[in-house]
Amino acid sequence: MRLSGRVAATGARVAGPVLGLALRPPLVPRRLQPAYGVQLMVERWQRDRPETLRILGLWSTTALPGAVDAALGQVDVEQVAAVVLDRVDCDVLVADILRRLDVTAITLAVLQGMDLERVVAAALEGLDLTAVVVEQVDLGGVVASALRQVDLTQIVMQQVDLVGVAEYVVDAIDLPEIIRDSTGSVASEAVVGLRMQGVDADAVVGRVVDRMLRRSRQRRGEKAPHQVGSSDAPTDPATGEPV
Amino acid sequence: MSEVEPGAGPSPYQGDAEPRGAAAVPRKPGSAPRKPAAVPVEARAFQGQRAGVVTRTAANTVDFLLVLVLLACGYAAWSAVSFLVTPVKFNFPAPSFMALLICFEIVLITYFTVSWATSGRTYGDHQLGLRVVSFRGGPLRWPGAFIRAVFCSLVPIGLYWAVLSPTNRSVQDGVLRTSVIYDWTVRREPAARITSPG
Repeated sequence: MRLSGRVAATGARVAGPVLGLALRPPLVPRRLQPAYGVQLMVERWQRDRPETLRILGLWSTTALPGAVDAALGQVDVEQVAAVVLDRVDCDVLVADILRRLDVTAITLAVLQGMDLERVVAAALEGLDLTAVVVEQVDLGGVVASALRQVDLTQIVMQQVDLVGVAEYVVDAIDLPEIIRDSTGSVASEAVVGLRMQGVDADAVVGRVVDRMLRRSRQRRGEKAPHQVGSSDAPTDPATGEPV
Repeated sequence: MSEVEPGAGPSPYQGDAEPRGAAAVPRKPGSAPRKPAAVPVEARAFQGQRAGVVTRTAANTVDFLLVLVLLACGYAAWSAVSFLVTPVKFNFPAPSFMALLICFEIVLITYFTVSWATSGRTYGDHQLGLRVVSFRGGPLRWPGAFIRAVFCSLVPIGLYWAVLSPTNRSVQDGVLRTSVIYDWTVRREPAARITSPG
């Protein structure tokens, strides 16, 4: 079958130009070409035998589907499709089809015909939406944008019981005791200054003595205020405290 | 006599048991609410660390002067009483140096004992922002306060061992396992951050 098909295709490919040259020889006027005579004969035949044409039409209408089905039954349709697709530029073909179609209307029709909630639920069931959002979404940008558009202060003032919160905080931190602390232990700037100078003097004396005794480690329990938090102050990596 | 020392061994002050300023740290259920300290920001870093010799000397100087004033007041009272009792034969009392020294020591020991066992600080300590604590970091008990007061009164020079000590401990601190720490608060509870030399 395959061989006969190839023979037929080859024969057609070879005979086609020869037959065309015979029917339409070059440099011969159209009226003198054999093809023209054949065409006149066909037209005359069709004009003289309308009944025959009608019968042939009925016959072809009746017999053609069966014939096509029988023909397709003898053909490997998938292979034919593969051969066709090999010879076709699919990108161009699809683009052309899409250009001819009203994709929006088709999509709307599809959406109307489906249970969208069920589809979305099924999709979300197999999807870690949180992970996707965290990975793909600029959450900082989203929050910043939202905060730019929202008057957070106004919302807090409207929605939060600020007095209650203030009372809770005052109660939790024992504000009266803090005030007593402030007024009792750190009464004046002079006292603060005196204490700070004392701490500085302690640090200076400690450093001088350590240098005289050739101590490489900073003495423990001694840290001048200006050294606190400085990047060059040695600290214990475990506790974060000065060593 | 505001020398002291928190412990040689593991001290409850070690590390940041409850770091100040860390307001976002969640509180354990059932624990007491954290109270912010009324201490200037620049002074918070060294709260709880052992104090150096300069501050302690200044505090002791204030205490000595205070005791001298007390003695002077006592002498004035004694003179007044003597005058009232025997106005005709009145003469200003003239105690011997040894008697004065003994009175000074008694007043000083009493003053130190009461101060350290109650508030943990003398008036001089209060002015300089110091506090005397035990090796546990808490206030001294009465016997401990008395022993330390005697020790500091009889051997005041022991304070200056803190100059040589890499952990700012005086002789009294080393023997009695006490500490003098920077603590600008007025609470009895220990400072939240204490550098332990141990």
